[in-house]
Amino acid sequence: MSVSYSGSARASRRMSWFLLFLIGVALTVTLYFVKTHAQSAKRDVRDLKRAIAAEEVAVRVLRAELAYLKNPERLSDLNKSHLGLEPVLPTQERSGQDIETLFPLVEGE
Amino acid sequence: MSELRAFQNQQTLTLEDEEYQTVTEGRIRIRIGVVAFVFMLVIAIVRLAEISLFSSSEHQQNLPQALKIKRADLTDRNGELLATTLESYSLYAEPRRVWNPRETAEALVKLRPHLNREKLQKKLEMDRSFVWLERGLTPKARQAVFGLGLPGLAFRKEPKRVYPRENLASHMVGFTNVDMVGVAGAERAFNSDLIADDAPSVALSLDLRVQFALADELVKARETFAALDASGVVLDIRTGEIIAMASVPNFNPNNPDTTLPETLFNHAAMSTYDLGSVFKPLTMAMALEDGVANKSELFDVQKPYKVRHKFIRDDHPSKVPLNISGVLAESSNRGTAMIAQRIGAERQQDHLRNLGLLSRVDYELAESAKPQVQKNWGEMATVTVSYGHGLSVTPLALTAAIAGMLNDGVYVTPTVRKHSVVSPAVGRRVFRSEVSEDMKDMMRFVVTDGTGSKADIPGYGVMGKTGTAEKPSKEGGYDERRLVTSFVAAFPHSDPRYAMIVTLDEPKAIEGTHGYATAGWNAAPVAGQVIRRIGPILPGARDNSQLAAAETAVTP
Repeated sequence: MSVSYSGSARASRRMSWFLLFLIGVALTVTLYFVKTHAQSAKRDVRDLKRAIAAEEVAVRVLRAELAYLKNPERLSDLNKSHLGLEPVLPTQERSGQDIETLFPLVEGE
Repeated sequence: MSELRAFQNQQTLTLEDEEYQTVTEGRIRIRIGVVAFVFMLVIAIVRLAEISLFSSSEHQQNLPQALKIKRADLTDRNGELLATTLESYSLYAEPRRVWNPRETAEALVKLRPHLNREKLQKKLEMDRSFVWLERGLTPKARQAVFGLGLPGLAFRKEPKRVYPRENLASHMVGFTNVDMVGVAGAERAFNSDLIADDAPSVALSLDLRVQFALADELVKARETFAALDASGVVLDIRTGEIIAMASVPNFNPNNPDTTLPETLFNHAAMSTYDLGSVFKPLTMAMALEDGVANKSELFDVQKPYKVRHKFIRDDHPSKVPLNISGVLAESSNRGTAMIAQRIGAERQQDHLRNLGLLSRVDYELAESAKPQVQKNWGEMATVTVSYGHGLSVTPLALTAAIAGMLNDGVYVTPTVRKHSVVSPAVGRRVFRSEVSEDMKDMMRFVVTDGTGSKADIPGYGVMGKTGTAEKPSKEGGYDERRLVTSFVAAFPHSDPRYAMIVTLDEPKAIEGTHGYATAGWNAAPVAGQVIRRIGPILPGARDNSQLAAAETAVTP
């Protein structure tokens, strides 16, 4: 049993196949570009991660250097040679109320 | 005519064949072209589909190397860095690629003078493809070597534990081995916490500023009094946090392999001493707790006192009877012996056990020595232990016990980890509150009117007790020339917050001490100096009631 198509039906069928083919090609091309874009984004992420890792290493080194510079022994030596500061004694401290008593406001000043 | 027709027919046929052939060839070419185009298109589509759908992982190589730092930082209670992990560079050579071993070795030694030129040259002349030259270079050193441009030299990144504070708090912080495994101090105690994935930094209880003040004064004291070693502890009475713990000599944890073994020893937590009279406050508290003595009763300490045919000696015997507070302030062995006999051996041991003095201090660090306890705890042992002989404990253990006594009678186990506000410290009651109140006054009296006067720093309400113990002699008995002097202190008197101890091992008499090498002349003033320096730093250290009283006295 053979199926025969009329001329317009055959043309319509061909057009459908062609459209499907075009859609397939378009989807594939789109997917390709999406994939390429994703890979590019991944590369960017990778570069960023690498940069962050490098920054983290640098920060750790700087923190260690800062800790070394802030060594109490070093600061103490600097204080002795440049400032000569001494610990504050409790008897040298005054509360806010004491200041009012010791230095009262004088009218007219 | 017929010839003409035949010719015309022939011409027509020829013309028709050429056209047909041309069209046919054209069609064939078009078909070939279409087939080729479709073939190429199919190949392109298949390739596109393959790339799009199936090549997900092949381009993911060369991802950035994660920061391979697998050990978190250690900080003090204020976030100051104590230990961190940095990338270091290890220099290696591929001898087969080295052009001139002698010149290479010379150039390296010029830059790294501590390296041995002959050894380097030998390594570079080896018939090997790999040989280590130097480990743990800093980025600067690495750049300098790199700048030489010598062929055959290369670097490998390796993690390295770095201690930027060097000797400061080295006994508490500890160090790691080459495999980055903690082998001492907090590095060992918190090893599993530090190596966990994405582990946060671990905050220790210590305050670096207090640690420095304590260590600095101990270094000076050791030099001044020519002591074998010196140690000290500052403890938060309420939380049990060790704010500072120092032992001199100390070491640089950046180079633990090159340090002297004796400097690795944390005397504050690992050396056990007969600490002498610093035990007396505990004996007084035991007596008050058990109700075997009261504050008004007088003890005849002016008379010779004998226990099991042995006279109990007082270095500076009182000429009058003393009450319990006077016994402590004058540090009378006789009075303490009388009180200890009333307490009895069994109750004394119960109290000592409760105060954690008959076992090692159960804190995080492995560095904690067991006390040396007498096997036969008879009457004589009860008496000698009451004034700190015959029971050897660590300075840390005694400080924790004194802290418990003054913390409203609640003992809190020491810790080297920063206290969390959400989980309050749990303690156990060792004395009644009333006993704790009495002991505060008695220990304050020792400083204002007794042997600890050189530790009295105005404004901090310092409480304390001196302790001078003779070391056991090799010939038996005690050697009165080899002393261990201690001063245990707490402050402020109005609301005790901090307890501390300073211990000097075999201090010598100096010009300013009038020939004395006892605790009142060395350990007490050292403790006073420490309090003078750390008082302004520590919250809650000022004795407000004492300051108010002083101001009231000054105000007309």
